[in-house]
Formats: sequence, structure tokens, C-alpha cells
Amino acid sequence: MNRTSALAWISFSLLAVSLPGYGDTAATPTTQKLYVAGTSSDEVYVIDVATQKLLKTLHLGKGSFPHGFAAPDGGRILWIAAEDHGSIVKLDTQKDEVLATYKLGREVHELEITADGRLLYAPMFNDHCYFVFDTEKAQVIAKLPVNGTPHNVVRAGGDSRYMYLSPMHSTVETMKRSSERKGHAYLDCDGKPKDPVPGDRIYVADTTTNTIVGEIITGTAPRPIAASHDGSRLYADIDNLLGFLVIDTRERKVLERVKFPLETEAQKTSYSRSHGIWVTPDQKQVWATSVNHDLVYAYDRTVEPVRFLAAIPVGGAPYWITFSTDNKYGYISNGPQGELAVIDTSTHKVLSHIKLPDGAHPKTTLVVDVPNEG
Amino acid sequence: VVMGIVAGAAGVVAGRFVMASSDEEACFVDLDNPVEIPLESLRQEWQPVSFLARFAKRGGEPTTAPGIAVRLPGAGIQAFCTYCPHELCVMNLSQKRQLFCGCHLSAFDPLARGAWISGPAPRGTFRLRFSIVSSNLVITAIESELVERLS
Repeated sequence: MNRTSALAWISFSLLAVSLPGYGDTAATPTTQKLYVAGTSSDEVYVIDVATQKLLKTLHLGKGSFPHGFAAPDGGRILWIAAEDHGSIVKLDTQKDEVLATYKLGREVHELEITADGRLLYAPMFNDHCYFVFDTEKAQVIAKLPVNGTPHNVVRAGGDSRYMYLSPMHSTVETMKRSSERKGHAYLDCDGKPKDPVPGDRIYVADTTTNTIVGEIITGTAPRPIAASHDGSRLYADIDNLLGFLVIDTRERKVLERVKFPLETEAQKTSYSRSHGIWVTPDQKQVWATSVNHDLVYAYDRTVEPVRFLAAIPVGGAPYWITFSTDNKYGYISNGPQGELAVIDTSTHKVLSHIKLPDGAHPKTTLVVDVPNEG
Repeated sequence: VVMGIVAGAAGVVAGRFVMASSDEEACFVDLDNPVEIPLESLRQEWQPVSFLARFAKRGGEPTTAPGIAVRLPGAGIQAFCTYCPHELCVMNLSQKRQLFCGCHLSAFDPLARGAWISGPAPRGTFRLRFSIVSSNLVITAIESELVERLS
């Protein structure tokens, strides 16, 4: 797809979301729940979006370090990555009770799942490949080796045809260190020693075959990535870029290399990096973080090149981003501060901060529309 | 050790790097201007004073690194670069009296010159060269490994 047709596709999508009935959940009363991984502990915090109050604290077991989330359509199930247990946890979102836990490997970080809930893609950090877990068979059905260190994955498009695998680590040294920290050699998918090769690309996996069918070269290692709902665009944090890439998924190439505008002398001369990026549910904006500058940047993605909208001071070091499903609020994990900044997506003003229990270090977040009944 | 000596020797030749004192094997880069912190502001133990060290990247581009100076029980006044050696997030002195990174939870011991305690960071804190001159703590150089990372 060329750029003109891609823009037409985006315009069509925006028209679609503005039409009455699109995404209308009024027929099925739901409660928006914000799930927050407390990476320093075994805790997952469940917050009621309507009241911003903590509903429940889940404990996944000592030393589990919850990290990533994935939710299929329907809102009844949430999958949680228990990083240091190397396991995935299936949660009933109505009761917020654990239904099952599956041990996959050494370390599992972010997660993604097909919309129908069948296939879960799990980046296995120190197994150096992505596992594909069949949730019906309850077993790993494929292992996808990649360069770099598996950390992130997103699906793009409502049909879940493709998963985009984003393995981190731009240098051999950093790759080796993560294995050494765990006290073992650098290993391949089958547990055999191998030579590390740094990450410099996003891999495209086809969920109909669970094989890698393409690559998108990013230069340095990709970090967190986000996808548009129509599947036409990826937005990728990468190493050594204070900003993000705009990627055409059909052409599988980088369209833009967006650099955050730096206003102050302090911003211009001090190091920061992007870690955390997401697209608003109405598909109009893409937000990304500047960790050391305590800023979140909002861009208009209805035009290309994307248009800078705002730099939002969030009162801490922002790491991960998610949005309420009604598009009203952005939630920013300020990990070191142990809180979430709540931002109005239309005015870009910080409305409040949700303080988490003492010692909490929020990481990945996800809002799930949980049906009240059924 | 050998690499450190070689790097240090190369730095001396280049006129920019200076070797650390004999008990260290780090190599340092001079700051653009020394950071001076009045000792008066460092009278209280465990009460850090923040500062910004200014120096040049390898290509000459100006940059900065955050740091804290603090008086420690039994260890005198120390200065630490607060970039975490893992991903260069900015650390704080925690209530547990550790230099702590909120990004990935690495921790360092101020009483042991910033030695690694736990977490994914591969080493102790980046070193600073400092001394007491008259009534000031004067910070003059920063470890070259950080300069390389930022370059």
C-alpha cells in the first residue's frame, strides 16, 4: 500500500470509529478495569477506572515479578506474564481470580494474544525465542528464534493475522549480561549454547502458520512497540532514538523517524530514552514517553508525517502507557514514583496521580472492559 | 585490567582522559567546569545534594550527567553519578539508604562507593573524581565508560 492509500485507510478507519454503534458496548454493561503490573513484587493491582480506586491486589507468588498483559476480545480473560517464574497466568477478570498457571521457560516479559484468545505469543527473554502457546491445548506449539532478546510483541489488525515481535538489546555485551545474571550460558530455543546476535529488527509472524514471514529493519534494537487497530501502522521505540519510528506494515519499512522536540537546555544536553508507546483507542493519537525528562509526547496520527501535539510533564519517570477503552484517559506508569499519572487525552492535562501501595513499581498496564454479567 | 591501562594510556596521550587513582581501574574524562558544592550544605548525614556534571561526548557534543553528593557515616563525603549503569535511568537515594533505580530495580551501596547490590545492572555506579578543596567539595571528572555510553 502506498502512502496515499494508507492515509485513505486511516481516514476510513477514523470515520468508522465516529459512526454510531461502532464499538458501542452499551448493550453489554461493562466495568473498565485497569490492571497494573507491580514489577518489584508478586503483585498485580486492579483499579476501577470510574473511581480510580484500588479494587484488589493480586499475588502471583513470591518472586514472580508480573510484567506483561494480554487480553483477547470479550474482556473475560486476562493473561499475565510472571517474569521471573517464566510462567503465564490466566485470570478471570470478573472475579479477578487465577484460573490456571503454565510454566513456559526461564523468563517471560510482554505478552500478546489473538483476538479469539486461541494463540498467546510469549517473548522468552532468556530462552531467546518467542513461544506460541495454544490456550486450548494448553501447550507450546511453536518456538520462533530471533536475534536480540525477546521482550515485546503486539498484534496488528482486528483479524490478528500478524504478530510483530520486537526483541531488544543492540549489543552482544548486553545480551550476554542478561544470561550471566541468571547464571547460565547464552542459549537457543532448545537450551543449547549459541552465539548472541544483537537485535536490529522487528519480526513479522503469521498466526495462521506460526512462522516468521517477514522482517522490518529498525537499525538499532526495537523496544516497546504499538500498532494501529487497522494493522497498517506500527510505532516503535528503538535504542538510541529519543522519539519513535513510524512503520508501514504492508510495505514492511520505516516511513518516519520522529524525534521529540527538545525545548530546554536541560533536555537538549541530558540523556533520555523512549520506553513506552501506545495508540489511543480512537486511533487519532500516538503517545510515547521520554523517561529521564519526565515527559510524555502526544502526536496526531491522522496525518503523515505525524504531527506533534503536546509534551506532557507527568511528574515522574514515565515508562509504560495505556488508555481507558472509552478513550478519555491515558495512564502512565511512573515506576520510580510508584504511581500512575492520569491524563485527559483531549486536553493533555494531568488530571491526577493514582498512588499505589508503598513499594510498588508499576510497569505494564492494560485496561480491560469487563462484562458485568455472563 | 590490561584494557583499562591501555585505555588510560591512550587517554593521557589524547590529553583528555586521566587515569583514576591507583586503587581504581577506571578512566576519567574531565568535566567542562568543576562542580563545587559548599561543605556547609553537606553537614547532615544521608542528606544528598543534587548536581549536574557537564562534559563533552566523544564527538564534542555537550552533555550532562546527574549526581548527588552526600555525607555518609564512617565514609565521609562521597559523590555519585546517578545514572543507573543498566539503562541510564536516574536513580535516587532510597529510604533503605541505597542508590536505587526505579526502572528495573537495581540497587547500589553508597557506603561501599556505589558497589552493585542487586538487580540487572552489570556493575557499580559510574565513578566521579572529587576532592575537598578549602570549604567545597569539588567534582572534576567522570568515568569515561559513561561518556562512551552517551556517545
